[in-house]
Amino acid sequence: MAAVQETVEQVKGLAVEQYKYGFFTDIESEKAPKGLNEDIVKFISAKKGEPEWMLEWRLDAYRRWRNLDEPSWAKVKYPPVDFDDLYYYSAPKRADDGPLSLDEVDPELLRTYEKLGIPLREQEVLAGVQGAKVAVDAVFDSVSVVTTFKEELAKSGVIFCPISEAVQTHPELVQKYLGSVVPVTDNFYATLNSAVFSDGSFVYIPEGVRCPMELSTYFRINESQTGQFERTLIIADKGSYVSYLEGCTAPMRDENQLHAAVVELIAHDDAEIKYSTVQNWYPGDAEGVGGIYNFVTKRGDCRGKNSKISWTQVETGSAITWKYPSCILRGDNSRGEFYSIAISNGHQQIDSGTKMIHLGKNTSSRIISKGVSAGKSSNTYRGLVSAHRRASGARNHTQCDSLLIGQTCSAHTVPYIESKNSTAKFEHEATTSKIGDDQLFYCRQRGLNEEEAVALIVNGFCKEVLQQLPMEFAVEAQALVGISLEGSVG
Amino acid sequence: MSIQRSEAETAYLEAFAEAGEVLPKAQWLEPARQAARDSFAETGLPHRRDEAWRWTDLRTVLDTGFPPALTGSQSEVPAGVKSPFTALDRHVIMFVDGHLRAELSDYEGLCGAAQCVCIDEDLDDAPQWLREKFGSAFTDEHDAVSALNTVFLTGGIAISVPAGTKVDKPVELIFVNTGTEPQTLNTRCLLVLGDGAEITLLETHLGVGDGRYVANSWTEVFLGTGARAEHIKVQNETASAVHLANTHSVIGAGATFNSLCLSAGAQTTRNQIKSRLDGEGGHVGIAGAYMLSDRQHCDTALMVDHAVPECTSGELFKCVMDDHARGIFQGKIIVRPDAQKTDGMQMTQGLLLSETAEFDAKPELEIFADDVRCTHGATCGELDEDQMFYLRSRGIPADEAKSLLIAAFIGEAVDEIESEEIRDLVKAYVAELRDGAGDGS
Repeated sequence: MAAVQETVEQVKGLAVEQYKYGFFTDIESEKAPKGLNEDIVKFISAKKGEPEWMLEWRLDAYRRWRNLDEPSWAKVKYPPVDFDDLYYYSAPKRADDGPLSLDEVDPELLRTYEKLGIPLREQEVLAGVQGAKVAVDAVFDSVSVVTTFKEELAKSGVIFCPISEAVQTHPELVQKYLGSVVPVTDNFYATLNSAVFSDGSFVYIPEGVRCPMELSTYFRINESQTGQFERTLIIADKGSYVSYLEGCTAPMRDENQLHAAVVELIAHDDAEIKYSTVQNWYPGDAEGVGGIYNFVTKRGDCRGKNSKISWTQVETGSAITWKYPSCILRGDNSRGEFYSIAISNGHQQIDSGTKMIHLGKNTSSRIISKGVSAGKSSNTYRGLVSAHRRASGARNHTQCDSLLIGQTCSAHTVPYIESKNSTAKFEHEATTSKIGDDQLFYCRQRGLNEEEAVALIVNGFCKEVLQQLPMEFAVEAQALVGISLEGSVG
Repeated sequence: MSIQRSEAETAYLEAFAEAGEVLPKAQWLEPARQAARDSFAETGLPHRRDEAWRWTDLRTVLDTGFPPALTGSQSEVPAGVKSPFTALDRHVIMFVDGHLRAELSDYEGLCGAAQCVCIDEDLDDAPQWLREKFGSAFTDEHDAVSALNTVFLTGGIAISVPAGTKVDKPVELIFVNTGTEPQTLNTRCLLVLGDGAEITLLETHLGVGDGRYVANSWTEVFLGTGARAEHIKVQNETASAVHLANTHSVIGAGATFNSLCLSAGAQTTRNQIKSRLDGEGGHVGIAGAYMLSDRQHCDTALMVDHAVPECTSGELFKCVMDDHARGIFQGKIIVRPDAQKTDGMQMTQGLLLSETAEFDAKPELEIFADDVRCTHGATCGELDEDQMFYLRSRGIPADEAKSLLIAAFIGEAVDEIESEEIRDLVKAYVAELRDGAGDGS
């Protein structure tokens, strides 16, 4: 009890001021005028040199969005966002608009990524891991500044490039798949994103190819008063495999910044996509001032037989998280997985979870969600598992565990289960507890101090999810879990 | 802005005016009635856009108006309509079509031990405890079901058991609905237990023939310090009826409230069960069983509110759906900021007997205190193949094996009843209902 009390006291002092990515890069940038109207949409489209169909698509989304209301059902509270007081496009200035080689990239930008620990030089590897190659697409505010290993990936036929480039070079693929999983009409933020998305990654893995390296995108919000609206589209053709990771950080500011992304995954027959997120947007300060509003729509479509999509997320940042990476299990025998660690501290609010929509025969899904709330934060798991009338033999197992640290935080579980098929078998279990006194006692008795003991227990609590991360990033994520709970448990 | 009202909504709104003349007079109740009228006029009948009603569209269910039954009927109770508790030595309070029928009741013995007030009569002289507690358990939100009951209330009973009194025999409230006219029948039961008082309350809702009506019943139970109450509700309305029910309980320090609700009848059932643990050391146990077939639809919205520390709660719902039936369970456990040392458990299980049956569940936890243990579980599936095989391999025919497994499944909820005698009667009734359903198909 004393140990917990002590850590609770420490949270008050330290809280989220531990955020070490909160610096700002002073770099000249080019912005669209403030606010949102058809001209801004046209401006963004023109900046990217997009074909007519893309502009029409955006304008259609914009007109729909104007008639939509912000969703209010999530367990999060925040003052209304003024959508006309934002910059929807901001890009670091550069001499010409041609594609950049690494040598041409502004050294200030390179230093930024160096500081963030992101290797942009192809010969570099992640610290602590020997010989692992990771291709990185670095997105800075509204544009992708560099994409590494493109040539090497092209040798195996893998397309990995910013989505704005894909619109130019592979319009047939983009036109076929964009909006096919998250339609323009999906929800308020997805529609907004469809109108103003600026960059993000495009991945296409051809039939039978196992992507030779990890792909990753690193998102950085730098400018003030800007929103980031990235769009990621990953297509795994028959029998292919890809593992993809995204990371995100932002400077510390007193204002709230909006990040509304859309991610679409498509897995054809026998294909597998593994999508991991380490989300570390600036969470605001100890008083809850500032931080990113992270309103994201992520959805995967297991379109083919025996396909598999696996979402792993480590959510430690953002003032508000509103995010439900989902799987549509359309193909027979397809499988969806969702592994999540959501850690909230300070005044953070998380409303996150998943949807597993069983449509095909013998589809299976697994959900493991671990929520840790500390400080004055609120942490909600919201999920849906549904079996369609024809989804015979569907199988789901859901496990949601919440850990509460301190008396001022809260944890909520809101699962929905809908079964329209008698052969579908669904199991859901959820627990909420605090760190057991006996567990603490056991660790203390073996010579660990309180802090170490709590860290060890929380790590054990999250282990099932952490081990799902690609090895190269597990180390990073583990450290991140420690940092975000520093002073509270880590 | 003009509001599009459904036929039923318009009918209810029109009935508000005329009801005022006929209903039991009670000046002290007027503000509550007015608030209910206003809230209904504003929100109308709930539909699927209301989160609490996402699986039950009451606006569609009540497609035409069901005028409130304002005057008492003298309908006979057919001999075939029999309570499952007939064999039990008990006090009986009988309601027919929403009105208390003294000549069919037998509760003189109860009046000796407790104070009983008939709600059919004018309530201007109602005792203080009745005025204080009436409709006061949960006042935070107005829903249409409660609003209609408040406005059109025609009958019911209020019972106050003094401190330390143990009511000698179970008290059974029988609600017989003849369904001769498509009406809404609004009844209320208020039970106030003094410190250390004890009672067993049986609530039986029976329909006659194939009458089509809306039964809207509301039971409120207040338990004083250390009081104990066992509440068993059996609902077997007609196959075309709509059963809407509120069951509210407020549990004092060290008090225990155990409740079982068996839903077998009605085309559409909506059970709204709310319980608040108001004193340290209180316990609430809520069990439920569904036995649904044809196109029956049963939706339970359950809320257990841990308002103070050191309370325990346990919920167990066992739902059996056959044919095109649809079972819904929405359960929520709230643990308030200071309710440390709370222990809450919730389990809901759906058993689908046919390919076209459906089960939806939303077991929620809302926790604002850290030193708690709260768990919930939800499962859904068909009969276990291994269990069937086990029974079949021992020479039990398929039909019988299935029957045994279903009985065992439902039995887990029925076993939550403390009194062995009542438990056995409920189990026998479940078996009778199942056999009846078997004959029909």
